[in-house]
Amino acid sequence: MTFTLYNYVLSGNCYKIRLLAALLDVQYGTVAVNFHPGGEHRQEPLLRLNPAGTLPIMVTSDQTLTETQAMLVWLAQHYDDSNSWWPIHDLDTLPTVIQWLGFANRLTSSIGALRQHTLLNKPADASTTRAAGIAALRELECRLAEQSIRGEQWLAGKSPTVADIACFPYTALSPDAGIENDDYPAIRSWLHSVRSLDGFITMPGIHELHQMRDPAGASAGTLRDHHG
Amino acid sequence: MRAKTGHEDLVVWRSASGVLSAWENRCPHRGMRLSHGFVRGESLACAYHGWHFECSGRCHYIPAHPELELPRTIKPTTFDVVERDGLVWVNTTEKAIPFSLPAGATPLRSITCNTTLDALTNHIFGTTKPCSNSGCHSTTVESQQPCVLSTLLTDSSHRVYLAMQASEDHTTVVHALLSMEANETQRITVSRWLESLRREAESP
Repeated sequence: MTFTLYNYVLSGNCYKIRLLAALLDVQYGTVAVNFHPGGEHRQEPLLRLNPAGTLPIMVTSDQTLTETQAMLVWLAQHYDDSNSWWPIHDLDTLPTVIQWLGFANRLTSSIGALRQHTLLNKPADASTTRAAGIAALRELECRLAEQSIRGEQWLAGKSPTVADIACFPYTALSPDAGIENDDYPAIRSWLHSVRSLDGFITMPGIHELHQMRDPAGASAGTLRDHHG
Repeated sequence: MRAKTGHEDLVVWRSASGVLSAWENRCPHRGMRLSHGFVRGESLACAYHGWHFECSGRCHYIPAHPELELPRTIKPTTFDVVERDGLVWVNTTEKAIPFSLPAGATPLRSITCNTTLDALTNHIFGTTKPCSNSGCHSTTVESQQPCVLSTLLTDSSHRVYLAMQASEDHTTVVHALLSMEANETQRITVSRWLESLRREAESP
């Protein structure tokens, strides 16, 4: 087994790992965690694995990772032979990738927190997290608009990196938190680019591009199926 | 995509062959926003029950009743739409007449400001407070209706055209255009200028 993912299907952070694993065609094991309403992640024995009480948790043959962005790097380092998702040899691009990995945490603490508040009634200061979420989306929009002026469609460099995967879920899920993305044209175009990637998988709230459905499959009423 | 103009909520979409349409953003079946739907070739399909509408607006396919002969009256309200200089002009009451921008003006980006159109133009003209960092220099009103301004920036030798679209929810979408010869760095400078213009206009 490559690794085991302690997973909650509605979590945007867990989805990041499932998505990159699917894009890199990696098989792995999952353990379903009762995040809501059970709160299993905040009880023993999971606290022994991750004292921070957060999800996801990734257990590999020799280590346990509890930070989502670190898991993305681990996956890319082990399963991306092209070294493009984690561009370790491209020293111009790598710092920018790390910059947007850091930014992804701000999406989680704003839009992610507001989404949990909206969907699961978790405590959050709605007006503060909303303002922070909009500020983060505006910053992302500005970056992507500038990248588009440069003729680029990804956050860093010329191809998708772990930074795009790290920022994708909570940006795409912002309508769940009551923040529509109609006002952000560069973001919408980037969301479309991510969803167009070969091997892309969905989660509740993030659907596939219908125009990319296989016509034969569409007429039979079935969606293209992916299992991460 | 969804667009707002005045009190009208619109769906603006382009078919696979490039035909542009602007309709009321409401499926005639159950009132679902058509902007949640998806383009399938030359049709827009509603996300709710999959009703397909062709570019004229006519509904030509209902998945639950594939054999049904559909009356021509099933269609959303459609509006006149014209595309010019990379901008889409819609008129919800009569024929859409695009404002003619000078040759070579190309779209830079569109940003939404949480201010009314009046507050934003007042700010650009510096009538409500000094336009400290915005760097607007000699702004001209090119057109009142639709509202199009052009401004010469102090830190760039380029004239920026701002086509302003007011919405009833007190927000304003600004579509900025810049002359084609502006290079990458100049375009990014103007993009950053737009960001600071918005910050200043929104600050209490």
